[in-house]
Amino acid sequence: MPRILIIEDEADLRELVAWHLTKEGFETASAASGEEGLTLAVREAEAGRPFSLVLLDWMLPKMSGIEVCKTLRQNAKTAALPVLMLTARGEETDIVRGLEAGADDYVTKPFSPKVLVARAQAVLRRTQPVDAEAPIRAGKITLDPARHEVTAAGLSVTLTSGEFKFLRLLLTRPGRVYTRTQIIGAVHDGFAAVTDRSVDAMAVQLRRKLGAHGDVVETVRGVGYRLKA
Amino acid sequence: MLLSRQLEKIRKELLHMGALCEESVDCSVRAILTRDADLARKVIDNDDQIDDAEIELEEECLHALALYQPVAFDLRYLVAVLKINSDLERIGDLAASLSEAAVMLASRPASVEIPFDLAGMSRTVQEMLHKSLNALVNLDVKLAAEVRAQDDIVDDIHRGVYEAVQKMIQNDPRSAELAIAYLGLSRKLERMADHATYIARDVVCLTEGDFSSYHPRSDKESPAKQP
Amino acid sequence: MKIPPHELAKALADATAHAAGLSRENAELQSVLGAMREAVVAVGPDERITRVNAAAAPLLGMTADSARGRLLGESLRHPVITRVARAGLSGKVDEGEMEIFVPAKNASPGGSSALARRLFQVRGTPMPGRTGAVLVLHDVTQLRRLEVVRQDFVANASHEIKTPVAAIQGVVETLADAPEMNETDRARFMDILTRQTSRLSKIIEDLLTLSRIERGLAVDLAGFSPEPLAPIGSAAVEACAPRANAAKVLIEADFDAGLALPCDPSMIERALVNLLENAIKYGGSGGRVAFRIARENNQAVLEVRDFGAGISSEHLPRIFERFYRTDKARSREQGGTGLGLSIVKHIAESHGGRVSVESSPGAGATFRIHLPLAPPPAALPA
Repeated sequence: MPRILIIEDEADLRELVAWHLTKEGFETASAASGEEGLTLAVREAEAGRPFSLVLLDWMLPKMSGIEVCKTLRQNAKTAALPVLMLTARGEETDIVRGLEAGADDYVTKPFSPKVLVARAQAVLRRTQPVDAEAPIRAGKITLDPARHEVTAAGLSVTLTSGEFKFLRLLLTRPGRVYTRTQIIGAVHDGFAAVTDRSVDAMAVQLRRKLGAHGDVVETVRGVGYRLKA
Repeated sequence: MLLSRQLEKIRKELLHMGALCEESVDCSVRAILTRDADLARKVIDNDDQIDDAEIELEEECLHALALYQPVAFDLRYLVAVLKINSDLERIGDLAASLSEAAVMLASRPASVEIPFDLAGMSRTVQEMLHKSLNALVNLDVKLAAEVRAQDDIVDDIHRGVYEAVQKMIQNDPRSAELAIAYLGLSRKLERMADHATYIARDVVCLTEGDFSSYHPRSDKESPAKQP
Repeated sequence: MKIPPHELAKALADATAHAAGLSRENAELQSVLGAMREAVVAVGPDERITRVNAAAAPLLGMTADSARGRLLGESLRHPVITRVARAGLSGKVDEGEMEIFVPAKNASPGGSSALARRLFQVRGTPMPGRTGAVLVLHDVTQLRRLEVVRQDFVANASHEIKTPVAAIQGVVETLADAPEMNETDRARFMDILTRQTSRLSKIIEDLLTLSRIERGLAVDLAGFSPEPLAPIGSAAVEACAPRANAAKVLIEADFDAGLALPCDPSMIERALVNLLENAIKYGGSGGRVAFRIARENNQAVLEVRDFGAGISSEHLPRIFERFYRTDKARSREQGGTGLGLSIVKHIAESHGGRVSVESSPGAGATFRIHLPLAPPPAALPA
């Protein structure tokens, strides 16, 4: 039974969200502040029963959601814990900040509870641990990390090492938006300086090489890229 | 002629070293206050740069001493630079060690607030470092005296922190680990202030040509200072 | 070698004319540089300062003349400016940002050397032929501060407004989708609906008040006749009595009965009620609130003081900003909209006055409204 931690300082929202998650068969736990939530998340992880997902409000008193998220990522025990950020801040730069702090997805307020539950389920689905060497499939595209091969509808596609890493990043978590900075981090080889613009150029190349299946590489305007789910 | 060129080079390198240290201290404090582990790691990485700069500056000084056998002010200046160089290097180390604490603190819930005015204390320490270097540049004895006066303030703050931390542990024994970390922050800042004060004292000795009051440096924390 | 006298004379004349041209250009250059708000520092290949403009002098803490000839690092010490200068000297354009100490503007000469921390954008450009580099420093401290205020306002306002909307929308959707919901749940959701709707309407009301004041009551002020302040103070105390009683807080009023000034009494009462309500909320249960109206020089001072937990210094400069909260959870629980103090400030300013706050943790907080009184007749020049 997946267990979800809700960190939200507004009691009414906490209650509303918990009610819907319970109805969908999740177990929930709540925390009214960032500190409390963080302590709970770490304690449960240390006790060997980590939460499956954290719903995290951005604007919390004292420690903000961004700080909570960064702190979770800093701690080895909670580094892999999926985080879905709730935020009233809908500006693109805010979303980029949230994702770069380590959030897996974001939902902007006001939100429909049903949509929130669906997004939570989607995050849970795509954060199932994956075998790093196993081939990844999405639609007609297959990527085999062990053999460093990519096929689209059975036809082999030749990619540069950067493009391969880019595609692999998107494929590991379909639907998750990666910011340009995160893509640079994953693609970077340690020599060539990669800029935001070269990420865009790489995306164009990747789409071209994937031909008819190129549209799986989806641009999220002002934020980054994701694999079309 | 050649000695003056060598001294110019040393002057520039010393200023660069000072600039690196001031920046490290600033970033390390900011990393703690904003829970920014990435910034803290940058400071830790940069410490190598400060260590390299120290070695290079020391070599340049020894080179000047051996080759040109300077006398009078130039000699005093080189001796002072050697001492100040090692003070700066220690300040750099302390900044790196503050940053290590910052990385640790950034992975813990901020459930217990820092029980003292860290921003205010570090601001004073940063001012002292800045003034001590300015005093050196301008051979400003009055400014050096200000640094020494501010050191007393920092010592008082540190004593206050000791008491605050004691209270924190008494109130909630579970907070002991954090409390001790906070005390460590204060102690490191207090040590930085000491090194800035040493620099200021060297400026006075250098300017007034009086070697007799040269202080012994202690890299270990003197037990008398511990409250 | 011997130079014929006429050639020598010509050469001298040329040189003189050239020098005159140069000095005119130099004077022009000086006045252009002098007119710049940005600090300009030129350095030679030896990293020594060759020229600075008027705006740079206060940053260096010395006159332009005494700065000349000093090493750059002796005056401006930061890895970024060193890097930018060295790039410029090697023929490259570079820029960066640095935060440094500069002499404080109000530093008393001869006193201790007060320092201010400022944030600069630095840009370095090479001079032709690698003869030096020009560094331009732009002080962005204030700009950055305003940017933070604006961003915080947008973020806080959207949070304060969208959170109740999110709750309301969520509840409505839930109720619509679940006709078979049990009575207990339904009652709980209806509670949420009531609470959040009233919260949202309070915020909207306060926002409307703010925009009304902003539209300029100040213009109409001349139309108000002098109003005695003591009755306004009493009305505010009365309005807050139920809350004060509930929190077992005693309001100690001390009014100068003779004070009067032209004002909109309902606005002043509203500002005082906001201050008193805050003092009751944060002063701690069972405490007291000191409420004073008195003359201080040429001002009427309306002062509300509590003896609660106080406000830490980092919040004080920003406490009158809209939606700024020192402790979000607590003040929202207390039913605040985050706009109360901002309204107080606007009311004071629309009356030609100002607000101030004093506090330290553990020592309570004192809020004051300062309103200008007409100068007493005795003070008027004969």
